[in-house]
Order: sequence, then C-alpha cells, then structure tokens
Amino acid sequence: MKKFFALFAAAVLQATLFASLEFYGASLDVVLVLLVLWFFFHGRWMELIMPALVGGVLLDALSGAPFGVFSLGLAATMAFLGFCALLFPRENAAHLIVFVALATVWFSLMVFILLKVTGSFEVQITLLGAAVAVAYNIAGSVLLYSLRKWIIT
Amino acid sequence: MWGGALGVLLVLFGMVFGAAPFENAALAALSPFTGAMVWVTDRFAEFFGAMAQMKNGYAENERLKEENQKLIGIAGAYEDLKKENELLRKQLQVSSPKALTLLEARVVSFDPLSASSFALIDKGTKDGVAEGMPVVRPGNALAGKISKTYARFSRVMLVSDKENKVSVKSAARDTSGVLSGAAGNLLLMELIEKNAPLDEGELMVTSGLDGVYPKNLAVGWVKEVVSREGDIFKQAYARPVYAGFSETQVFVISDYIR
Repeated sequence: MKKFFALFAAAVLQATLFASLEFYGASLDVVLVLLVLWFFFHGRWMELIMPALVGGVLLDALSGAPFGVFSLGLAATMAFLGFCALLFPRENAAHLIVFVALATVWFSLMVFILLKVTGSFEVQITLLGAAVAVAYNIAGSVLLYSLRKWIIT
Repeated sequence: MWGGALGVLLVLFGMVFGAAPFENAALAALSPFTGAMVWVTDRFAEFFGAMAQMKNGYAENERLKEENQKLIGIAGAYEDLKKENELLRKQLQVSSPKALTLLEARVVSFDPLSASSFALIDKGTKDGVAEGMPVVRPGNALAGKISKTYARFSRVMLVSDKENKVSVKSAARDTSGVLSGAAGNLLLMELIEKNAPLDEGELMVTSGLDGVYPKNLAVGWVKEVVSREGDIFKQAYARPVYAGFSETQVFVISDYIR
C-alpha cells in the first residue's frame, strides 16, 4: 500500500511540477527513478513488474501517448535492470548512478520503439536530450535517496 | 511473477482494444491531486516571475510605459476603425461576424512524456466538449485543440506539440506559413515563401485556412528567420504566446468544428 501511494504521488509530481521544469525536451521521470531505487535497495526485478505497471498505467492516463507506452516501457526497464544487476553488484551505493543512467537510456529507447510500433507520433531522440534526461534522473535519484526513510525502507 | 505476467497481458489487451475505462478511473482518481499540484506550481511560477520582475523592475517599468503609450494610440485608432467598419457594414448590409461560444475550463495536468505536448482539462463530453475543438487562453491566444475526450476530462494537443500543424500568417503583413512545435520550447514555422517579408518580433496569428482554428488568434512572436540558399521556402522560429505552465485557465471554442 505504501508503494502504491508513493507511485501515485510520483505520477502526480511527474505530470505537474516536474513537467513544468522541462529542459531540452527532458524532465525528471520520478516514477522511473523511484522504481530504480526500490530495485537497487531491495528488489527483485520480477517483484517490481506489478508496481511498474501500476505507475505506468497512471502515467499512461495522464499522457497523450497511446495507452501502454509507459506501463510496458517501465516493465521492460525492470527486466533490463535484472540483467544489469548481473554485471554491476548492488553493494556499492555509487553504482546507483550507473543503474539510473542505464535505466533512463533503456526506458527512452523502449518508449521510442513503442511509439514507433503504435505509429502514434514522430519522436526524435537527440544526444543532448538523452544526456539531459540522464542528468535529470541522476539528480532526482539523489533527491529521492535523501528521502529513503519514507519511500524506500 | 504470475501477477506481473497477467498485468502485462491486461495492458496489451488495453493497447489493442482500447483502455478508456482504465483511463477514466485513473483520471478520476488523479485529477483532484494533479489539479491542486498544477495550482501550486502556477503560484510558484507567479512568485518567481514576480521576483525576477522586481530585479529588473525599473527597466521593465520603462518598457511597459512605452508599450502603454503605443497601445493608447492604437486603441484610439481602433475605435475610429470600429465605427467606420460598423457604418460600412450597415451601408453594404453585411452582418457582423458571429461571436464564438466559449466554455471555460481548467488545466489539471500536463504530459509526463517529454516527447509530446498535451494538457488535460477538467471538461469532457458531458460538458459538450468534442474532438477537434480549438482551445484558447484569455487574450485570444491559441492554446491547442481537443485531441481526445472522456466523460469529465479532455486532452488538449498544445500548439507546442510537433504534430499540431497550424496555418498562420503574420498579423502585420499577411506572410503565411504552417507552424508546429519545435525543440527548446519554440515553434517552427515552415512553408514561408522565400521572398515574403518577415522580421523578428512580428506577431503570428492563425490564418483560418486550415479550417481547424478560427482566424486571428495569437500564436507566437518570430524569434529568428532562417533562409537557406537553394531552398524554395524559408523557415522561422517563434516564441509561443501560450506559456503552458503559467496559464491554467483556458476556453474551449465549442461552435467552430468544421
């Protein structure tokens, strides 16, 4: 239940406050960062598929993109993080940055593919936009990490 | 594991057959919170905007005084032209253009996907909103058009979205083109005749040629004109008049669907 409320709050913030802070076509993906933090600190990727789908459905409802883009994109990112955990041990907190960066790039790629498949609208991924998105999400993960007492444990 | 797999299947089912009930339920739960958060963000933007203005207070005040003088002159000329126009209409027995019917709405959230530019408003089919209706903000500035409707909500494709093509012309010299969203919170105006006059700072308004938007709605100010050798047309970048996050009150034009 705590996870659901955290996802709900994250979706609300992502579609309001952080959407207003868009810079070079990128803004903070609060739901994604929250899921990465849960995965990094004590999750198994399979346990996070359901929270990813719940967060994704909330974002899908608020987005102009076709239904399913966020939910499937986030679920696929959780599976990808499961694979990444084989390469980067999670004992080192500094690796969180690597996980957030990889998850951001993978999630953007998933959204790009899903939008192409659904043929909804033309999307371009620029190197600068991707770099800004990664920087935003790393900064967001530091912010959320400081709130871990309430949202992670 | 099985819960996740079932969830993925449900989402896929929603993608193929439509997920309006899911979306309606999620929007009903989210909108009171997103609406409140948009209001808070709006107040923050106002506060920081006011702080920035205080910093440049004197220069801004002087600029506004100058602009006010110009507008007083224009208002005087406008009254004369209005009277003359009414007189000519009477003489030629031509009726005045019909006033547009406006339905007031509030923005309750923005698009969490950076690649697109949508907003959600608190009026839907039960309030008479239909797809394709133009949306404006106070001051006759174009905000976008309704792209999807729900019972109590509607999605607005903002003018800053890349897919939103708007026929525009320069208010002063009638130079026409087609405008859509571009990177960096700008608008890109294309298909401008190479020799047509267009300068930085000119106001672009809707031309009404696309049949989607009524004419003379303010869209943006020209920021930069780009003309390349060998091209048949030139392009221009414009700053949008509609500043998405500081304007939460909008109006749906309910009687202009063509």
